[in-house]
Amino acid sequence: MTLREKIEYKNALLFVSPWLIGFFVFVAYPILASLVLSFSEYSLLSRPLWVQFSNYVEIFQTPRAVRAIIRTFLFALVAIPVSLAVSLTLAVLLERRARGIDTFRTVVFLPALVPQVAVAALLLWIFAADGIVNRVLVWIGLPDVRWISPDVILVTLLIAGVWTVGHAVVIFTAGLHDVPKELYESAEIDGASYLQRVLRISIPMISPVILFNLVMGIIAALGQFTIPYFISSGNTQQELGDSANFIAPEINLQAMRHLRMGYASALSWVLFIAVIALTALVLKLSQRVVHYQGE
Amino acid sequence: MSDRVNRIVSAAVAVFGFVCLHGVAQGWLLTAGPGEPWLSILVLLSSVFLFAVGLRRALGSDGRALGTVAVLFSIVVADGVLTGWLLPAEVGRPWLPRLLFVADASLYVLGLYVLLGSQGRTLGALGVTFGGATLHGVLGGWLLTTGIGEPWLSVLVLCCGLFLFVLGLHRLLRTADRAAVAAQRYVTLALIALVLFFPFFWMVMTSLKPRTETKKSIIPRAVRSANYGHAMAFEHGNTDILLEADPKWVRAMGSPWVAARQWAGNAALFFKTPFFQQLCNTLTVGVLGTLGVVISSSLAAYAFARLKWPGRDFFFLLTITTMMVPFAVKLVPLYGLFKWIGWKGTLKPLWAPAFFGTGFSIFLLRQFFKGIPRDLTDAARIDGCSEFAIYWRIILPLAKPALAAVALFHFLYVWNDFFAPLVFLTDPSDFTLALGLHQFQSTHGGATPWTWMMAAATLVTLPVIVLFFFTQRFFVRGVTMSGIKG
Repeated sequence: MTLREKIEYKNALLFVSPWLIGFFVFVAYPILASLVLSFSEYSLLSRPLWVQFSNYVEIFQTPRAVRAIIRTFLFALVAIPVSLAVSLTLAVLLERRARGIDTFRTVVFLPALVPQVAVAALLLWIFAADGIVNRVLVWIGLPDVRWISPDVILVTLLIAGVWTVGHAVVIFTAGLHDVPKELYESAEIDGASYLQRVLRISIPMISPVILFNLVMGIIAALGQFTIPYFISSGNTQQELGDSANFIAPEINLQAMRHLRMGYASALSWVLFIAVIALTALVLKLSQRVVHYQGE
Repeated sequence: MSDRVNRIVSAAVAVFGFVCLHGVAQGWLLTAGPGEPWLSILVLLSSVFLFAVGLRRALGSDGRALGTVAVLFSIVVADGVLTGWLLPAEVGRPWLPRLLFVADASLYVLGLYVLLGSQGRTLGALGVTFGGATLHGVLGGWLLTTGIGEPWLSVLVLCCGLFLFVLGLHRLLRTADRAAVAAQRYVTLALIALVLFFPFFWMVMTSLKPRTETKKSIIPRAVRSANYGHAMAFEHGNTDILLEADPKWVRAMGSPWVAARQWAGNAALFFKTPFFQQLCNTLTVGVLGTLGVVISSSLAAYAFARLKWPGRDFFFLLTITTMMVPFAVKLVPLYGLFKWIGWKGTLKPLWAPAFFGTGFSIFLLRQFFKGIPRDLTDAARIDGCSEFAIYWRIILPLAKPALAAVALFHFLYVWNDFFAPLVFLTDPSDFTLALGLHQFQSTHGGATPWTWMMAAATLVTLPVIVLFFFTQRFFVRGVTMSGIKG
């Protein structure tokens, strides 16, 4: 190592040191500590008691926890593709230069800005038994739907998710903007229809962006907390029971309400492994499909 | 030429046939219908088939006009069969005409829409649709009453419909019109925007209504701004009242006029409301956290982007992976940690970690720093500038937009965050706005009036929207940057 390199190394360490501390204290330590805690029984009041795998065994023997896990996966499995398809469609519609398009872009993006708690409150009001959605349905003559009920609540949550896809739309729009215009022009000369141009040019060209949004969607969907927690804690609690319960709210309940830190840690590792596994799977599967432009 | 004439004629014949079929089928099914449900199913299926065939042709590059015509009229047929099928069975349901009206209207809009898209000819499409609709209505009505009313009127309208239909078809088969394609997109976008905007509209409208009016009107007849007073002052809560709300404040908000007059006298009360306190808490966390993120993330990003050191790429990969860790995974140890150092129940756990950087902001800034030309910093280095001076004097001033985006994202993240405040805060006087909204909902024994609730939701949402409108430029650029390299 030359002197210059040494100085650069020292400088780099100095620059990165706050983040180094942050990484170890606020990311690495909590993840590893929860792994260790997940093998113990711990209520914060006494010392942790080593119990090996019994927390994990208990999770998969508790119907409530199993339901939360299955529900989280099922919801992610439906919500991620739906949100992706909706945001991609919106981005394709919003990509073209046209007069007034910026207004539409803003309106599409605005819901993504609404704080999740406000989304939850709004959702409870709009989809209430006598809310505006049901009133419109009844006016038309269709049967009203119990949106905030165990059977339908996941659909309602899906609608709320679709309403707030703005971030993904903006990222997609930017990706579409970078697709070389010559490709479209030559395709048009060859007689390709609009739909063909979107499917055969736009989508392959922005496949890395789709992958990015997909991974972001996985993380957000599996770790979602605020809206399910909010809607299952007010006066809808009785009615909904645990039908809107996901892994993250369950972790919160076990840790904060029941002080079962070991059990909650085991749940959080189930969640962590799920995120890692699903992301790895998507990255692996995408290798063949995703098309990167030359760097 | 003869090919075109051929097409026009065949399209016209086919369409006319369809319309007649529809009307006759409807009339026949209505009078003799209920006995033969299989027939309506048969006709319905065949029209669905025609719809599919037509749609395929419409989307293909050739034969669009014919395809769309087939689509439109198979829709009409399907509609007619359904009408015929539904009416006798459901007679006496008052909502049925409304349902049919909505269904008809949306079907015609759909037909119009499909036509517009096929190398659109606006006027032609309008003509065809209107003509089709008229024919449908007249035939249906005529056959229903079989001349009890004024048959001549039906005939007149029928002729008008025919005329318009022929005119439309003629225009339809002429040259393409790009403006119509644009019109199609505007119609789509406007509909989407309307749906997406409606919840905002409804939130604000509800927040301005008296409690008794929420189910009666769309736009409030009498504006009741006192809802906002209640939302801010939190009064009537059974528990967890932060500060005794002064009823004067709430009453003053009751009438905008009184409020305006008494504003000066009552302004001080605003500063005593829980809302103001929560706003201050949120701003504290937001401003401190944002400051911390900008400082330490830019330092780390500089090391990742502009310096060479062993293990850099591996550690950067780790940094990116931290974005993938949900807060719930870190919850238990972080709770233990902050409880141990005595920060539980204070705002510190919410802003202090930001002073050590976050994966997302480091990633974003690193991408930006990498794009700054090397020559600029090399020259400074030769002149003997220290590394920190290069970072401070050259990189940071050039990276202002990226820093602004990072700051904005973190601030919005804090504003939106609910999970961490819920875990770490215990005393209502420390609550952030997001937490306050949840508390507002759950402390009235589940009976918080929706008008107050929506006022509170508006109060939480409005500042973010306002902030967005002032910083849109940085915002969109930041979102764009985050997605570019995937």
